[in-house]
Amino acid sequence: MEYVLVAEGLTKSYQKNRVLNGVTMHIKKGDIYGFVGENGSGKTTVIRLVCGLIHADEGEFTLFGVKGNSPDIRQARARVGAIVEAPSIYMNLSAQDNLKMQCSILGIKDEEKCKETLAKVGLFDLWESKKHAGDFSLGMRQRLGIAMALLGEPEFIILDEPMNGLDPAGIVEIRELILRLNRESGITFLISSHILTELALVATRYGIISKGKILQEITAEQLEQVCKHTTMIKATDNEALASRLCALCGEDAVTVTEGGVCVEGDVNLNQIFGEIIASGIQITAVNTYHSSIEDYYLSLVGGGKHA
Amino acid sequence: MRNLYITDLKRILKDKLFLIAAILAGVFALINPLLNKILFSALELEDFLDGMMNAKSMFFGAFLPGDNLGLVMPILISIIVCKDFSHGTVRNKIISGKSRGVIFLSHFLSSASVMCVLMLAHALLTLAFSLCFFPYQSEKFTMSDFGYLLLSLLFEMIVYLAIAAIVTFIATLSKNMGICILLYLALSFGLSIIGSVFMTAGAFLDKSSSWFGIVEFINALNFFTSSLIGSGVTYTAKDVLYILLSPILTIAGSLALGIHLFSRKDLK
Repeated sequence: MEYVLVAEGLTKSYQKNRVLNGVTMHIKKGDIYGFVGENGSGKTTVIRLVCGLIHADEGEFTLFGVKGNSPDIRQARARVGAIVEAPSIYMNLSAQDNLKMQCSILGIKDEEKCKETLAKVGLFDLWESKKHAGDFSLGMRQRLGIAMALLGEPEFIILDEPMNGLDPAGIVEIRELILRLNRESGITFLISSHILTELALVATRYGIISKGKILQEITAEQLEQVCKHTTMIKATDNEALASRLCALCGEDAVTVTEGGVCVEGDVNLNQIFGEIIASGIQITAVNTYHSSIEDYYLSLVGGGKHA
Repeated sequence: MRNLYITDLKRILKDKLFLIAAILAGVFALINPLLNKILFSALELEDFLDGMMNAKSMFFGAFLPGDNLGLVMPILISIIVCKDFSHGTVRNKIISGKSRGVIFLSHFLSSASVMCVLMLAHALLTLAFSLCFFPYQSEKFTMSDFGYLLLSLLFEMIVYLAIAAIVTFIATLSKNMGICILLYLALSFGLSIIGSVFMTAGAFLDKSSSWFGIVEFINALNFFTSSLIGSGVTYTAKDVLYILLSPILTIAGSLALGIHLFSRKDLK
Protein backbone atom coordinates (compact mmCIF):
# COMPACT_ATOMS: atom_id res chain seq x y z
CA MET A 1 0.00 0.00 0.00
CA GLU A 2 1.32 3.40 -1.00
CA TYR A 3 1.47 5.95 1.82
CA VAL A 4 1.17 9.66 1.20
CA LEU A 5 2.17 10.62 4.73
CA VAL A 6 3.84 8.63 7.46
CA ALA A 7 4.82 10.31 10.73
CA GLU A 8 6.90 8.58 13.39
CA GLY A 9 7.32 9.94 16.91
CA LEU A 10 6.91 13.63 16.10
CA THR A 11 7.47 15.87 19.10
CA LYS A 12 7.27 19.62 19.31
CA SER A 13 7.52 22.00 22.24
CA TYR A 14 6.93 25.73 22.44
CA GLN A 15 9.24 26.85 25.24
CA LYS A 16 8.38 24.41 28.04
CA ASN A 17 4.97 23.49 26.68
CA ARG A 18 5.10 20.11 24.89
CA VAL A 19 2.46 20.28 22.16
CA LEU A 20 3.24 17.05 20.33
CA ASN A 21 4.32 14.01 22.26
CA GLY A 22 5.44 11.38 19.76
CA VAL A 23 2.78 11.56 17.06
CA THR A 24 2.72 8.52 14.78
CA MET A 25 0.24 8.45 11.92
CA HIS A 26 -0.24 6.86 8.51
CA ILE A 27 -2.22 8.26 5.60
CA LYS A 28 -2.68 5.98 2.62
CA LYS A 29 -3.13 7.16 -0.95
CA GLY A 30 -6.81 7.78 -1.60
CA ASP A 31 -7.73 8.17 2.08
CA ILE A 32 -9.98 10.89 3.38
CA TYR A 33 -8.27 11.03 6.75
CA GLY A 34 -10.37 12.61 9.47
CA PHE A 35 -8.09 14.17 12.04
CA VAL A 36 -10.03 14.38 15.27
CA GLY A 37 -9.01 15.98 18.52
CA GLU A 38 -9.99 18.52 21.13
CA ASN A 39 -8.78 22.16 21.04
CA GLY A 40 -5.05 22.25 21.72
CA SER A 41 -4.63 18.52 21.08
CA GLY A 42 -1.95 19.20 18.44
CA LYS A 43 -3.87 18.81 15.17
CA THR A 44 -2.78 22.13 13.69
CA THR A 45 0.78 21.64 14.93
CA VAL A 46 1.01 18.34 13.04
CA ILE A 47 -0.37 20.06 9.94
CA ARG A 48 2.10 22.93 10.28
CA LEU A 49 4.96 20.45 10.59
CA VAL A 50 3.93 18.58 7.47
CA CYS A 51 3.51 21.85 5.56
CA GLY A 52 7.02 22.98 6.55
CA LEU A 53 5.89 25.98 8.58
CA ILE A 54 7.52 24.73 11.78
CA HIS A 55 10.31 22.30 12.60
CA ALA A 56 9.99 19.14 14.71
CA ASP A 57 12.11 18.74 17.84
CA GLU A 58 12.25 14.96 17.43
CA GLY A 59 10.83 12.31 15.15
CA GLU A 60 10.39 12.40 11.42
CA PHE A 61 7.81 12.16 8.69
CA THR A 62 7.83 11.14 5.07
CA LEU A 63 5.67 12.84 2.47
CA PHE A 64 5.21 10.87 -0.76
CA GLY A 65 8.12 8.74 0.44
CA VAL A 66 10.44 11.74 0.88
CA LYS A 67 11.84 12.33 4.36
CA GLY A 68 10.88 15.63 5.99
CA ASN A 69 14.52 16.60 6.58
CA SER A 70 15.60 15.79 3.02
CA PRO A 71 16.28 18.67 0.59
CA ASP A 72 13.81 16.96 -1.80
CA ILE A 73 10.94 17.57 0.60
CA ARG A 74 10.17 20.80 -1.27
CA GLN A 75 9.37 18.85 -4.44
CA ALA A 76 7.08 16.60 -2.38
CA ARG A 77 5.38 19.66 -0.87
CA ALA A 78 4.70 20.99 -4.35
CA ARG A 79 2.24 18.06 -4.63
CA VAL A 80 0.32 19.32 -1.59
CA GLY A 81 -2.41 21.94 -1.27
CA ALA A 82 -3.34 23.19 2.17
CA ILE A 83 -5.37 25.52 4.29
CA VAL A 84 -3.77 25.90 7.69
CA GLU A 85 -6.07 27.42 10.34
CA ALA A 86 -7.38 30.30 8.21
CA PRO A 87 -7.32 30.64 4.42
CA SER A 88 -4.12 32.36 3.27
CA ILE A 89 -5.51 35.03 1.00
CA TYR A 90 -4.61 38.60 0.10
CA MET A 91 -7.31 40.63 1.82
CA ASN A 92 -6.70 43.71 -0.33
CA LEU A 93 -7.23 41.82 -3.59
CA SER A 94 -10.26 40.44 -5.42
CA ALA A 95 -10.94 36.71 -5.79
CA GLN A 96 -9.60 36.82 -9.35
CA ASP A 97 -6.41 38.62 -8.31
CA ASN A 98 -5.90 36.20 -5.41
CA LEU A 99 -6.06 33.24 -7.77
CA LYS A 100 -3.78 34.96 -10.26
CA MET A 101 -1.25 35.55 -7.48
CA GLN A 102 -1.33 31.87 -6.58
CA CYS A 103 -0.93 31.01 -10.27
CA SER A 104 2.06 33.32 -10.36
CA ILE A 105 3.66 31.53 -7.36
CA LEU A 106 3.03 28.16 -8.98
CA GLY A 107 4.12 29.33 -12.45
CA ILE A 108 0.70 28.61 -14.00
CA LYS A 109 0.03 30.70 -17.10
CA ASP A 110 -3.47 29.45 -17.97
CA GLU A 111 -6.07 31.97 -16.75
CA GLU A 112 -8.93 29.61 -17.61
CA LYS A 113 -7.75 27.37 -14.80
CA CYS A 114 -8.48 30.13 -12.28
CA LYS A 115 -12.03 30.42 -13.64
CA GLU A 116 -12.58 26.67 -13.51
CA THR A 117 -11.27 26.43 -9.96
CA LEU A 118 -13.42 29.32 -8.79
CA ALA A 119 -16.44 27.60 -10.35
CA LYS A 120 -15.53 24.33 -8.60
CA VAL A 121 -15.90 25.98 -5.18
CA GLY A 122 -19.11 27.78 -6.14
CA LEU A 123 -17.65 31.27 -6.38
CA PHE A 124 -17.77 31.79 -10.15
CA ASP A 125 -19.97 34.88 -9.67
CA LEU A 126 -16.98 36.58 -8.08
CA TRP A 127 -14.78 36.23 -11.18
CA GLU A 128 -15.57 39.69 -12.51
CA SER A 129 -16.18 41.22 -9.08
CA LYS A 130 -13.78 43.86 -7.82
CA LYS A 131 -14.82 43.19 -4.20
CA HIS A 132 -11.79 42.65 -1.97
CA ALA A 133 -11.38 39.35 -0.12
CA GLY A 134 -11.31 41.37 3.12
CA ASP A 135 -15.00 42.16 2.50
CA PHE A 136 -15.95 38.51 1.91
CA SER A 137 -17.87 36.47 4.46
CA LEU A 138 -15.90 33.83 6.38
CA GLY A 139 -17.44 31.10 4.26
CA MET A 140 -16.49 32.84 0.99
CA ARG A 141 -12.92 33.25 2.22
CA GLN A 142 -12.86 29.57 3.14
CA ARG A 143 -13.98 28.60 -0.34
CA LEU A 144 -11.50 30.96 -1.96
CA GLY A 145 -8.76 29.40 0.20
CA ILE A 146 -9.82 25.94 -0.98
CA ALA A 147 -9.78 27.18 -4.59
CA MET A 148 -6.22 28.44 -4.10
CA ALA A 149 -5.22 25.10 -2.59
CA LEU A 150 -6.69 23.32 -5.61
CA LEU A 151 -4.91 25.44 -8.24
CA GLY A 152 -1.70 23.44 -8.30
CA GLU A 153 -3.63 20.20 -8.94
CA PRO A 154 -2.38 18.69 -5.67
CA GLU A 155 -2.43 14.96 -5.00
CA PHE A 156 -2.79 15.54 -1.28
CA ILE A 157 -4.97 18.27 0.24
CA ILE A 158 -4.74 19.29 3.88
CA LEU A 159 -7.75 21.17 5.23
CA ASP A 160 -7.62 22.49 8.76
CA GLU A 161 -11.19 23.02 10.00
CA PRO A 162 -12.59 23.56 6.48
CA MET A 163 -16.20 23.80 7.63
CA ASN A 164 -15.51 26.79 9.90
CA GLY A 165 -17.76 29.69 9.07
CA LEU A 166 -19.66 27.89 6.32
CA ASP A 167 -23.44 28.00 6.17
CA PRO A 168 -25.32 24.67 5.89
CA ALA A 169 -25.45 24.93 2.09
CA GLY A 170 -21.74 25.73 2.01
CA ILE A 171 -20.94 22.73 4.21
CA VAL A 172 -22.83 20.45 1.82
CA GLU A 173 -21.05 21.97 -1.20
CA ILE A 174 -17.59 21.56 0.33
CA ARG A 175 -18.41 18.03 1.46
CA GLU A 176 -19.54 17.11 -2.05
CA LEU A 177 -16.46 18.77 -3.51
CA ILE A 178 -14.18 16.72 -1.22
CA LEU A 179 -15.98 13.49 -2.10
CA ARG A 180 -15.94 14.29 -5.83
CA LEU A 181 -12.23 15.16 -5.87
CA ASN A 182 -11.43 12.01 -3.91
CA ARG A 183 -13.58 9.82 -6.14
CA GLU A 184 -12.81 11.33 -9.55
CA SER A 185 -9.22 12.53 -9.16
CA GLY A 186 -8.05 10.17 -6.44
CA ILE A 187 -6.93 13.09 -4.27
CA THR A 188 -5.97 12.15 -0.72
CA PHE A 189 -7.33 14.40 2.03
CA LEU A 190 -6.28 15.16 5.58
CA ILE A 191 -9.18 16.99 7.21
CA SER A 192 -9.10 18.21 10.77
CA SER A 193 -12.44 19.14 12.20
CA HIS A 194 -14.34 19.64 15.41
CA ILE A 195 -17.59 18.81 13.67
CA LEU A 196 -17.27 15.05 14.05
CA THR A 197 -20.67 14.24 12.64
CA GLU A 198 -19.74 16.19 9.51
CA LEU A 199 -16.40 14.43 9.31
CA ALA A 200 -18.18 11.09 9.60
CA LEU A 201 -19.93 11.84 6.29
CA VAL A 202 -16.68 11.99 4.33
CA ALA A 203 -13.84 10.28 6.23
CA THR A 204 -12.65 6.83 5.20
CA ARG A 205 -10.11 6.70 8.01
CA TYR A 206 -9.66 8.51 11.31
CA GLY A 207 -6.75 9.57 13.45
CA ILE A 208 -7.79 10.44 16.97
CA ILE A 209 -5.35 12.75 18.73
CA SER A 210 -5.39 13.90 22.33
CA LYS A 211 -2.77 15.79 24.34
CA GLY A 212 -0.24 15.59 21.53
CA LYS A 213 -0.50 11.85 21.02
CA ILE A 214 -2.39 9.76 18.47
CA LEU A 215 -4.70 7.53 20.53
CA GLN A 216 -5.96 5.47 17.64
CA GLU A 217 -6.04 5.19 13.88
CA ILE A 218 -9.15 3.46 12.67
CA THR A 219 -10.95 2.94 9.35
CA ALA A 220 -14.53 4.08 8.89
CA GLU A 221 -15.62 0.40 8.63
CA GLN A 222 -13.88 -0.49 11.88
CA LEU A 223 -15.42 2.52 13.56
CA GLU A 224 -18.83 1.48 12.31
CA GLN A 225 -18.32 -1.88 13.95
CA VAL A 226 -17.11 -0.53 17.27
CA CYS A 227 -19.86 2.06 17.47
CA LYS A 228 -22.31 -0.35 19.13
CA HIS A 229 -25.96 -0.81 18.29
CA THR A 230 -28.21 -0.93 21.31
CA THR A 231 -31.75 -2.26 21.22
CA MET A 232 -34.05 -1.41 24.11
CA ILE A 233 -37.00 -3.80 24.45
CA LYS A 234 -39.84 -3.31 26.90
CA ALA A 235 -42.25 -6.10 27.75
CA THR A 236 -45.06 -6.87 30.15
CA ASP A 237 -42.61 -9.07 32.10
CA ASN A 238 -39.14 -7.60 31.85
CA GLU A 239 -37.46 -10.24 34.04
CA ALA A 240 -38.71 -13.07 31.87
CA LEU A 241 -37.68 -11.06 28.83
CA ALA A 242 -34.16 -10.58 30.24
CA SER A 243 -33.64 -14.27 30.96
CA ARG A 244 -34.87 -15.19 27.49
CA LEU A 245 -32.58 -12.59 25.87
CA CYS A 246 -29.60 -13.83 27.94
CA ALA A 247 -30.20 -17.27 26.50
CA LEU A 248 -30.46 -15.89 22.96
CA CYS A 249 -27.71 -13.18 22.90
CA GLY A 250 -25.42 -14.04 25.82
CA GLU A 251 -25.33 -12.52 29.32
CA ASP A 252 -22.67 -9.91 28.51
CA ALA A 253 -24.86 -8.27 25.87
CA VAL A 254 -27.91 -7.87 28.10
CA THR A 255 -28.56 -5.19 30.74
CA VAL A 256 -31.76 -4.67 32.68
CA THR A 257 -32.66 -1.03 33.22
CA GLU A 258 -35.70 0.76 34.62
CA GLY A 259 -36.92 1.47 31.11
CA GLY A 260 -36.60 -2.10 29.84
CA VAL A 261 -33.97 -4.57 28.72
CA CYS A 262 -30.97 -3.39 26.66
CA VAL A 263 -29.23 -5.63 24.13
CA GLU A 264 -25.87 -4.38 22.85
CA GLY A 265 -24.48 -5.27 19.43
CA ASP A 266 -26.02 -6.24 16.10
CA VAL A 267 -28.97 -8.52 16.65
CA ASN A 268 -31.38 -10.23 14.32
CA LEU A 269 -34.60 -8.61 15.50
CA ASN A 270 -36.86 -10.92 13.48
CA GLN A 271 -35.35 -14.00 15.07
CA ILE A 272 -35.35 -12.53 18.61
CA PHE A 273 -38.92 -11.24 18.39
CA GLY A 274 -40.06 -14.62 17.05
CA GLU A 275 -38.43 -16.45 19.96
CA ILE A 276 -39.78 -14.00 22.58
CA ILE A 277 -43.33 -14.10 21.26
CA ALA A 278 -43.14 -17.87 21.05
CA SER A 279 -42.22 -17.85 24.78
CA GLY A 280 -45.45 -16.01 25.52
CA ILE A 281 -43.84 -12.70 26.48
CA GLN A 282 -45.70 -9.64 25.22
CA ILE A 283 -43.49 -6.86 23.79
CA THR A 284 -44.81 -3.35 24.53
CA ALA A 285 -42.03 -1.13 23.05
CA VAL A 286 -38.83 -1.38 20.99
CA ASN A 287 -36.18 1.32 20.46
CA THR A 288 -32.86 0.99 18.64
CA TYR A 289 -29.86 3.26 19.24
CA HIS A 290 -26.53 3.62 17.43
CA SER A 291 -23.62 5.28 19.22
CA SER A 292 -21.94 7.96 17.12
CA ILE A 293 -18.32 8.85 16.36
CA GLU A 294 -18.71 11.54 19.03
CA ASP A 295 -19.60 8.92 21.63
CA TYR A 296 -16.68 6.79 20.54
CA TYR A 297 -14.30 9.76 20.59
CA LEU A 298 -15.43 10.75 24.08
CA SER A 299 -15.04 7.19 25.32
CA LEU A 300 -11.51 7.14 23.94
CA VAL A 301 -10.33 10.47 25.35
CA GLY A 302 -12.19 9.92 28.60
CA GLY A 303 -14.47 12.90 28.15
CA GLY A 304 -17.71 11.01 28.68
CA LYS A 305 -19.36 7.66 28.92
CA HIS A 306 -19.34 5.44 25.88
CA ALA A 307 -22.93 4.60 25.09
CA MET B 1 12.77 32.48 -7.86
CA ARG B 2 11.47 34.34 -10.92
CA ASN B 3 7.86 33.34 -10.18
CA LEU B 4 8.12 34.48 -6.58
CA TYR B 5 9.81 37.75 -7.54
CA ILE B 6 7.04 38.54 -10.04
CA THR B 7 4.38 37.62 -7.46
CA ASP B 8 5.92 39.84 -4.78
CA LEU B 9 6.37 42.68 -7.23
CA LYS B 10 2.70 42.43 -8.29
CA ARG B 11 1.68 42.30 -4.64
CA ILE B 12 3.53 45.54 -3.89
CA LEU B 13 2.25 47.30 -7.01
CA LYS B 14 -1.36 46.33 -6.23
CA ASP B 15 -1.13 47.60 -2.66
CA LYS B 16 -2.67 50.99 -1.84
CA LEU B 17 0.45 51.89 0.12
CA PHE B 18 2.45 51.77 -3.11
CA LEU B 19 0.06 54.30 -4.62
CA ILE B 20 0.52 56.50 -1.55
CA ALA B 21 4.32 56.20 -1.89
CA ALA B 22 4.11 57.12 -5.59
CA ILE B 23 1.91 60.16 -4.84
CA LEU B 24 4.29 61.24 -2.07
CA ALA B 25 7.21 60.88 -4.48
CA GLY B 26 5.55 63.44 -6.76
CA VAL B 27 4.35 65.75 -3.99
CA PHE B 28 7.71 65.91 -2.19
CA ALA B 29 9.49 66.45 -5.51
CA LEU B 30 7.33 69.52 -6.18
CA ILE B 31 7.13 70.90 -2.65
CA ASN B 32 10.83 70.91 -1.77
CA PRO B 33 12.09 73.13 -4.61
CA LEU B 34 8.97 75.30 -4.39
CA LEU B 35 9.33 75.86 -0.64
CA ASN B 36 13.01 76.69 -1.04
CA LYS B 37 12.20 79.19 -3.79
CA ILE B 38 9.42 80.83 -1.76
CA LEU B 39 11.56 80.92 1.38
CA PHE B 40 14.59 82.41 -0.38
CA SER B 41 12.47 85.01 -2.17
CA ALA B 42 10.61 85.97 0.99
CA LEU B 43 13.80 86.36 2.98
CA GLU B 44 15.57 88.05 0.03
CA LEU B 45 18.45 85.60 0.34
CA GLU B 46 18.71 84.72 -3.35
CA ASP B 47 21.75 86.91 -4.03
CA PHE B 48 23.39 86.00 -0.75
CA LEU B 49 23.00 82.25 -1.35
CA ASP B 50 23.71 82.44 -5.07
CA GLY B 51 25.54 79.27 -5.99
CA MET B 52 24.90 77.57 -2.66
CA MET B 53 21.36 76.47 -3.40
CA ASN B 54 21.17 74.66 -6.72
CA ALA B 55 19.32 71.87 -8.47
CA LYS B 56 22.25 69.48 -8.00
CA SER B 57 22.15 69.71 -4.20
CA MET B 58 18.37 69.31 -4.23
CA PHE B 59 18.65 66.30 -6.51
CA PHE B 60 21.09 64.50 -4.19
CA GLY B 61 19.22 65.75 -1.12
CA ALA B 62 16.14 63.90 -2.45
CA PHE B 63 17.93 60.61 -1.81
CA LEU B 64 18.63 61.28 1.90
CA PRO B 65 17.32 58.26 3.84
CA GLY B 66 16.37 60.31 6.90
CA ASP B 67 14.28 62.89 5.01
CA ASN B 68 10.87 63.01 3.31
CA LEU B 69 10.40 60.09 0.93
CA GLY B 70 13.67 58.50 2.02
CA LEU B 71 12.16 58.05 5.47
CA VAL B 72 8.54 57.30 4.54
CA MET B 73 9.05 54.85 1.69
CA PRO B 74 11.06 52.15 3.50
CA ILE B 75 8.36 52.18 6.18
CA LEU B 76 5.57 51.78 3.61
CA ILE B 77 7.45 49.00 1.86
CA SER B 78 8.17 47.23 5.16
CA ILE B 79 4.43 47.29 5.94
CA ILE B 80 3.72 45.63 2.58
CA VAL B 81 6.36 42.96 3.30
CA CYS B 82 4.83 42.38 6.76
CA LYS B 83 1.41 41.86 5.16
CA ASP B 84 2.71 38.65 3.58
CA PHE B 85 3.00 37.32 7.13
CA SER B 86 -0.06 38.96 8.69
CA HIS B 87 -2.31 37.69 5.84
CA GLY B 88 -0.60 34.30 6.09
CA THR B 89 0.09 34.31 2.35
CA VAL B 90 3.74 33.40 2.96
CA ARG B 91 2.37 29.95 3.85
CA ASN B 92 1.19 29.49 0.25
CA LYS B 93 4.79 29.93 -0.89
CA ILE B 94 6.23 27.46 1.64
CA ILE B 95 3.52 24.87 1.02
CA SER B 96 4.02 25.13 -2.73
CA GLY B 97 7.61 24.03 -2.18
CA LYS B 98 9.57 27.30 -2.29
CA SER B 99 12.62 27.45 -0.05
CA ARG B 100 12.73 30.03 2.70
CA GLY B 101 15.97 31.41 1.29
CA VAL B 102 14.27 32.10 -2.03
CA ILE B 103 11.26 33.63 -0.26
CA PHE B 104 13.55 35.99 1.68
CA LEU B 105 15.51 36.93 -1.45
CA SER B 106 12.30 37.54 -3.35
CA HIS B 107 11.06 39.89 -0.60
CA PHE B 108 14.39 41.71 -0.76
CA LEU B 109 14.56 42.00 -4.54
CA SER B 110 10.96 43.13 -4.95
CA SER B 111 11.29 45.72 -2.15
CA ALA B 112 14.62 46.92 -3.54
CA SER B 113 13.27 47.20 -7.10
CA VAL B 114 10.28 49.28 -6.02
CA MET B 115 12.35 51.44 -3.67
CA CYS B 116 15.07 52.14 -6.24
CA VAL B 117 12.61 52.97 -9.03
CA LEU B 118 10.49 55.25 -6.82
CA MET B 119 13.52 57.01 -5.31
CA LEU B 120 14.98 57.52 -8.78
CA ALA B 121 11.67 58.88 -10.08
CA HIS B 122 11.38 61.13 -7.01
CA ALA B 123 14.93 62.45 -7.42
CA LEU B 124 14.52 63.04 -11.17
CA LEU B 125 11.23 64.87 -10.58
CA THR B 126 12.91 66.93 -7.87
CA LEU B 127 15.68 67.77 -10.35
CA ALA B 128 13.15 68.72 -13.02
CA PHE B 129 11.18 71.01 -10.67
CA SER B 130 14.40 72.45 -9.16
CA LEU B 131 15.67 73.39 -12.61
CA CYS B 132 12.57 75.58 -12.98
CA PHE B 133 13.82 77.77 -10.10
CA PHE B 134 17.57 77.17 -9.74
CA PRO B 135 20.53 76.40 -12.00
CA TYR B 136 21.95 72.85 -11.92
CA GLN B 137 25.23 74.20 -10.52
CA SER B 138 27.18 77.48 -10.61
CA GLU B 139 29.69 76.02 -13.08
CA LYS B 140 28.94 74.96 -16.65
CA PHE B 141 27.56 71.41 -16.96
CA THR B 142 30.12 69.20 -18.74
CA MET B 143 30.35 65.55 -19.82
CA SER B 144 32.48 64.88 -16.76
CA ASP B 145 29.59 66.21 -14.60
CA PHE B 146 27.29 63.81 -16.43
CA GLY B 147 29.61 60.89 -15.66
CA TYR B 148 29.77 62.01 -12.03
CA LEU B 149 25.95 62.17 -11.93
CA LEU B 150 25.56 58.65 -13.30
CA LEU B 151 28.16 57.24 -10.90
CA SER B 152 26.48 59.03 -8.00
CA LEU B 153 23.12 57.53 -9.03
CA LEU B 154 24.70 54.08 -8.98
CA PHE B 155 25.98 54.72 -5.44
CA GLU B 156 22.56 55.97 -4.32
CA MET B 157 20.96 52.82 -5.72
CA ILE B 158 23.44 50.69 -3.77
CA VAL B 159 22.54 52.64 -0.63
CA TYR B 160 18.85 51.89 -1.26
CA LEU B 161 19.65 48.23 -1.85
CA ALA B 162 21.19 48.25 1.65
CA ILE B 163 18.08 49.96 3.06
CA ALA B 164 15.88 47.38 1.31
CA ALA B 165 18.00 44.63 2.87
CA ILE B 166 17.53 46.17 6.34
CA VAL B 167 13.78 46.58 5.77
CA THR B 168 13.43 42.96 4.56
CA PHE B 169 15.46 41.71 7.52
CA ILE B 170 13.34 43.59 10.07
CA ALA B 171 10.00 42.86 8.39
CA THR B 172 10.66 39.16 7.77
CA LEU B 173 11.94 38.44 11.24
CA SER B 174 9.57 40.65 13.26
CA LYS B 175 6.54 39.82 11.04
CA ASN B 176 4.80 42.63 12.90
CA MET B 177 4.00 45.99 11.29
CA GLY B 178 4.18 47.98 14.55
CA ILE B 179 7.54 46.57 15.61
CA CYS B 180 8.84 46.97 12.08
CA ILE B 181 7.89 50.67 11.90
CA LEU B 182 9.32 51.38 15.35
CA LEU B 183 12.60 49.59 14.65
CA TYR B 184 13.10 51.28 11.31
CA LEU B 185 12.28 54.73 12.72
CA ALA B 186 14.68 54.16 15.63
CA LEU B 187 17.41 53.02 13.25
CA SER B 188 16.82 55.83 10.79
CA PHE B 189 16.62 58.62 13.39
CA GLY B 190 19.47 57.14 15.41
CA LEU B 191 21.86 56.94 12.46
CA SER B 192 20.78 60.35 11.12
CA ILE B 193 21.39 61.98 14.52
CA ILE B 194 24.74 60.21 14.93
CA GLY B 195 25.62 61.33 11.39
CA SER B 196 24.74 64.96 12.18
CA VAL B 197 26.75 64.90 15.42
CA PHE B 198 29.84 63.51 13.69
CA MET B 199 29.50 65.91 10.76
CA THR B 200 29.32 68.86 13.16
CA ALA B 201 32.29 67.49 15.11
CA GLY B 202 34.23 67.09 11.85
CA ALA B 203 33.66 70.76 10.99
CA PHE B 204 35.32 71.85 14.23
CA LEU B 205 38.29 69.46 14.07
CA ASP B 206 41.71 70.27 12.65
CA LYS B 207 41.99 68.44 9.33
CA SER B 208 45.54 67.32 10.14
CA SER B 209 44.56 65.68 13.44
CA SER B 210 44.14 61.90 13.72
CA TRP B 211 40.64 62.45 15.18
CA PHE B 212 39.54 64.10 11.95
CA GLY B 213 40.43 60.96 9.99
CA ILE B 214 38.42 58.79 12.39
CA VAL B 215 35.40 61.12 12.30
CA GLU B 216 35.62 61.32 8.51
CA PHE B 217 35.71 57.51 8.27
CA ILE B 218 32.70 57.09 10.61
CA ASN B 219 30.81 59.74 8.63
CA ALA B 220 31.57 58.01 5.37
CA LEU B 221 30.38 54.64 6.72
CA ASN B 222 27.04 56.08 7.80
CA PHE B 223 25.04 55.79 4.59
CA PHE B 224 22.01 57.35 6.24
CA THR B 225 23.74 60.71 5.82
CA SER B 226 25.53 59.80 2.56
CA SER B 227 27.85 62.79 2.97
CA LEU B 228 30.23 61.70 0.23
CA ILE B 229 27.69 61.04 -2.52
CA GLY B 230 27.05 63.97 -4.85
CA SER B 231 28.89 66.50 -2.70
CA GLY B 232 31.87 67.07 -5.04
CA VAL B 233 32.77 66.89 -8.70
CA THR B 234 34.81 63.66 -8.80
CA TYR B 235 35.32 60.57 -6.65
CA THR B 236 38.71 59.41 -5.40
CA ALA B 237 39.40 55.68 -4.93
CA LYS B 238 39.15 56.29 -1.15
CA ASP B 239 35.73 57.93 -1.61
CA VAL B 240 34.45 54.94 -3.60
CA LEU B 241 35.75 52.51 -0.97
CA TYR B 242 34.16 54.50 1.86
CA ILE B 243 30.86 54.88 0.00
CA LEU B 244 30.54 51.21 -0.95
CA LEU B 245 31.97 49.52 2.14
CA SER B 246 29.09 49.84 4.59
CA PRO B 247 26.16 49.34 2.14
CA ILE B 248 27.74 46.21 0.69
CA LEU B 249 28.53 44.83 4.15
CA THR B 250 24.98 45.69 5.23
CA ILE B 251 23.46 43.90 2.21
CA ALA B 252 25.65 40.82 2.67
CA GLY B 253 25.10 40.70 6.45
CA SER B 254 21.33 41.30 6.31
CA LEU B 255 20.80 38.70 3.60
CA ALA B 256 23.06 36.02 5.10
CA LEU B 257 21.79 36.46 8.66
CA GLY B 258 18.20 37.02 7.51
CA ILE B 259 18.08 33.83 5.43
CA HIS B 260 19.76 31.85 8.22
CA LEU B 261 17.33 33.05 10.91
CA PHE B 262 14.25 32.88 8.69
CA SER B 263 15.05 29.29 7.71
CA ARG B 264 15.04 28.26 11.38
CA LYS B 265 11.99 30.29 12.37
CA ASP B 266 8.63 28.70 13.13
CA LEU B 267 5.75 30.32 11.26
CA LYS B 268 2.12 30.39 12.31
